Amino acid sequence: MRNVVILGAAMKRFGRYQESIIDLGAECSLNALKDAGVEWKDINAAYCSHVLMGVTVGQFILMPLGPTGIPIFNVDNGCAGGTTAMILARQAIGAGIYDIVLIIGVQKMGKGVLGPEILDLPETDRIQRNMGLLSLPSKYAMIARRHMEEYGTTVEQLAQVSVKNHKHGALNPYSHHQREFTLEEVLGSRMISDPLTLYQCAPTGDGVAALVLCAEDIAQKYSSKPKVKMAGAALCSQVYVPDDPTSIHAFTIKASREAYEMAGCGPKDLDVIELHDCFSIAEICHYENLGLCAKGEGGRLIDEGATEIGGRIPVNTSGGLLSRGDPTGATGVGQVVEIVWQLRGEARKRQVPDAKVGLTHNLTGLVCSVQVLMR
Amino acid sequence: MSAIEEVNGLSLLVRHDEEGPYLIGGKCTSCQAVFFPKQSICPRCTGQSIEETPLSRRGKLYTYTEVYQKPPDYNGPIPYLIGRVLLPEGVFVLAQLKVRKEDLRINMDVKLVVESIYRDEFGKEIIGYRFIPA
Repeated sequence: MRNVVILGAAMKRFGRYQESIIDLGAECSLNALKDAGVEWKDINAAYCSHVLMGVTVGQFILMPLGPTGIPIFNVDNGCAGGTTAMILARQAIGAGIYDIVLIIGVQKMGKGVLGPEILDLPETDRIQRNMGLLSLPSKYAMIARRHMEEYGTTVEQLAQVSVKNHKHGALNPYSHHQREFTLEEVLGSRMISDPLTLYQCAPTGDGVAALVLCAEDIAQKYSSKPKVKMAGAALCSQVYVPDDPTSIHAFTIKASREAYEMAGCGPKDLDVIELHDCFSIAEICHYENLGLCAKGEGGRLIDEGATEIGGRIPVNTSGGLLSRGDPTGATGVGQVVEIVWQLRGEARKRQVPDAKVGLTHNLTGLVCSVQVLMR
Repeated sequence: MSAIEEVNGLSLLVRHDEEGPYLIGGKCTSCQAVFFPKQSICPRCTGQSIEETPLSRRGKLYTYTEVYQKPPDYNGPIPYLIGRVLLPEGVFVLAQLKVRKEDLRINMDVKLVVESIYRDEFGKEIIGYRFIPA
């Protein structure tokens, strides 16, 4: 396997846009190419991550750059699609099939709670939906309630995750919310599913983000910027764990252990992390799942400020999903863009000094990916 | 079983005997895994010989939440309580709860009931299963 590096990165601030996804995606792709020092004609293949954005949306976005005849793969793996696309591209470059690949994550979304991701649901699912049993906020709220019961995690600790991430996001010009919230504001915002209030739920929105991946052995001829190596990458689907009905833990543990092993490092070696904080409780659970602390100690990590910029292991310096936003198909690519900026020393006010090893953790209902990135 | 449950589709999940309603689990004849809802392939061993097994009517509340924002396809009143109940078979069941909030406790004993949950926008009655204090 050849090593693969990230040569270029670009994104547009996540939020709400009038322009079509075609225009937004094409512009962002060009920005990533410029950042990489690569021209469109140099690209051997492209992977477009999106969720239900339409038939061959990747081709529609990239044709305006010029119909060069390259393969363009449309990847739909929910909120984990962006990093799924990267993992596919890494395999292809690693195997010698391509040298330089464009990754683009695109999404436009409506407001409110996410709807059914699979349209032709089995009858038993429909009945459960009619009873109001299947929604993401309630799933995570129940994880939170159980965590509180087992480990003494408090509503203040949950809310503090959002306070921290919004504090980071206020420093990030690419963040959707881009403002700070006090603990009182987070706790006092509208209740969505007890104990999760509105500002503990990631905002939906529109977003585009793009990356250029390249075989390490030829990267130097395009760009003199620091290269970010894809040192470890793992994608897992749901694991059968009968005693873990909450189901966000097992595949995160599995994917992170595989990624650590591939990269030859562990949680103690990490300098900066972007993890999938779709809800405040998710961040606390994933501190534990990624091995940053022991099971049940996630709340303590928040109390200690360990995961703030300036802390022992800064998490979600971009603002995370809670502040930067969660435009599903673009979310994972946006996470990687932040880590690339951190590892290159380009993260400005939110820079983690001398960050060398970063991690992204990106998931959706039945999929989890973890990547270890190194300068 | 009432006709309305047939219309509702609930008969895929619930059956009645002389002692009242129970949830229909699936049991793999190869590896003995029990699951809910019943499906035609075993999630543990991919066995396709699945038999129907009645699940216990009583269990313990594993976790819960009060939902304030209507999820898609739910048209009943808000807020409402839902929870995960652990049955003695080791199966978790997601269900509505009918418990006074001040009485809600994780690990409390609960039992199954089947009743009207709400009328949808066309006036059709939605029958569902709930757990109440045992």
